[in-house]
Amino acid sequence: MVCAAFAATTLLLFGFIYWQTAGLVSGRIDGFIRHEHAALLRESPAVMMADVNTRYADDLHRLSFASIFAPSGAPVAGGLAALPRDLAEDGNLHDIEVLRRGEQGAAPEVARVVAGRLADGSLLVVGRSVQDLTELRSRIGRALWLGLSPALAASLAIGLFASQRTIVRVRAVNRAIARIMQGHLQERLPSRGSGDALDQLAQSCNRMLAEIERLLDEVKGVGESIAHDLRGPLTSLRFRLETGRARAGSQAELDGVVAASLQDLDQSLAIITALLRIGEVQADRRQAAFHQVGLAELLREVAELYAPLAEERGLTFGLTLGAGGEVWADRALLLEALVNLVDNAVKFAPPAGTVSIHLMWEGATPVMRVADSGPGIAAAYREAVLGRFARAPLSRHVPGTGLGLSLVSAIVRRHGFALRMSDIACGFAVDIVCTAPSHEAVQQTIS
Amino acid sequence: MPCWPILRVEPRQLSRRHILLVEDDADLAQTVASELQDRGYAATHSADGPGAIAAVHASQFDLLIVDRLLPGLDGIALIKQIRAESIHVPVLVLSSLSAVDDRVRGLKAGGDDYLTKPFALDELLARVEALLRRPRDTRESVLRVGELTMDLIDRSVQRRGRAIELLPREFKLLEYLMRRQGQVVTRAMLFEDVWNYRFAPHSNLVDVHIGKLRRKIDVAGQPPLIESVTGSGFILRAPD
Repeated sequence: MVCAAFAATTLLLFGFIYWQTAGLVSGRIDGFIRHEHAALLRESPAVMMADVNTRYADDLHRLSFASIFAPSGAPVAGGLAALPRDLAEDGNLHDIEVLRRGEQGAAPEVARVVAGRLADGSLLVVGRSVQDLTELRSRIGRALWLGLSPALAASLAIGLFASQRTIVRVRAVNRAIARIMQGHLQERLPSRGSGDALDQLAQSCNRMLAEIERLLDEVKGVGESIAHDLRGPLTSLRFRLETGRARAGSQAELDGVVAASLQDLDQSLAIITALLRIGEVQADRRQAAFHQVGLAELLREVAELYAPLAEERGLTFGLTLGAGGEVWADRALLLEALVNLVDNAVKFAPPAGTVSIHLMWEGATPVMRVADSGPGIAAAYREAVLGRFARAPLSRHVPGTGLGLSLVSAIVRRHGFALRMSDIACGFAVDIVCTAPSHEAVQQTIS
Repeated sequence: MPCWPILRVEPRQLSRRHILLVEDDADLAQTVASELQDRGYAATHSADGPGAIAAVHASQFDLLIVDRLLPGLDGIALIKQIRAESIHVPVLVLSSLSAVDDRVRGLKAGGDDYLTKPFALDELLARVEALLRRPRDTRESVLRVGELTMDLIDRSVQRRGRAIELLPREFKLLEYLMRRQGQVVTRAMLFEDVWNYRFAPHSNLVDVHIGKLRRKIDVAGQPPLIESVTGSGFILRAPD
């Protein structure tokens, strides 16, 4: 296709050169003849006659000529041997065959000729041989043809070569796609790293494939972790019911078994809900619910919610608000994250311990800290609990789904913030570092 | 057989209320329908949207329980159609879709409450009851339960003439309970309606807040006004 276009362009170019060169020369010849004709017409008959004769005598190259013919058609003066046969006396230029004086035996030659009657009825014929022009044309034509043929041949050859290579690459891509469709999702489209259009396309497709693979892994991960997390409580539920049926001796004992079984089931359902919720937060990339959220007011609300619970458990509960700040966030989600953190803190703080919520600043970055005097999470597990559905082994024996931090992590990532865990003087702290407090930054992080 | 306090308190008011259950899961429908009948309601079951429309046209219902995902005509379309026909029966939407968006869509279509599967039967029954007994006239400016009075205009609460100081959230919580006196409200209902949170509480947060409220409104030597209902929630009622 490209080659055909290239060939056509070359042809056009060469045609243009030919037209321009030949056209220029013939235009100049025409101009010259008109000028000569006009100049002769301005002379008196005697001077014209002499002039015509002088021209004939001077014209050694037999290029241009001028002749006067009597009204009868007999040559009177000048270079032509006879009145040309197809002569039109309209004052315009024509290509006609003429016969020169002294060359009567030779073949007539083609010339550009203009003819006009004089006052006495005789005919003035002025012309110029175009033999050289014809030759020039044929030379240019030949030169162009000689140049054009290899150019065309080369372009066709290159075109064939290139399209052949493209076909080979497209076939390779098609083979890769066929394998991917057969389920080999780790397969990628071949790319040579040359950065051409096909390569860029392949790289884009590969990025898309990587994302699809990641998402499928995630779905698989959700499924696997649901299965994994449910196996425990469901097994214990089964044992409980089995032994309950076999051993419960009274209605009261059976009621106890049923109540405990219901708790196991609720735990299982809570795990499913939590896992689905994490998946939902991770999958949703919209920002419809994002607004400027005042952090101080948000933390005050969480503190108000948890203070009675902390008090009931005999914990010292504190709220420290530095300068208030606003972040671009989904308020409900951020609240959910904070509730999870404070819930954990209240749950894990030792008797007579402390739980505190802080709003601090690190430079221009607001940091929300939830601290407790509990043991915290061992450094080795900190990374793991932030991961998708991982949890620290300890938390499996504590009531709750144990998925709170995974959800917090998903929410924090959704906002483009960072989650940080650290040991502090009085215990353990989890920080939500609002690294991207502006709207634009969040959008950048998310896209 | 656990005793459902409401039946004991006001059995006549609830008797033979007619509920249409639109649910394609036969097992779940069977369980829910027989539970509703045990509680004294008349329950009709329909397994799909078109059947439900026909049933709604054929007889008058006091409440519709509609599953979101139905064969033929989905729950949302069903509710929209019923509302378009100016049928104002309360609708409780059941769904396995828990996203906030889905909930909003369900309520926007004309649903009055939205319950996500899996749910406890007690939770469903509490919401059914809440929908059947819509809160009292909101134009009332003073709410009364026994000796407890709440003035909504100057936002004061008194019991036996003794003023009770409440924090704003406690006031809202008590108002919610007083408007539904004699009616079980679940923890999830309180979390959704009093705190406006869409996520389930992990700890016994609601219990603690209720406990705090109880200590403020109860009087020594008198039975507590707010009772706990095992497995479901709380009920505020005047002592007998």
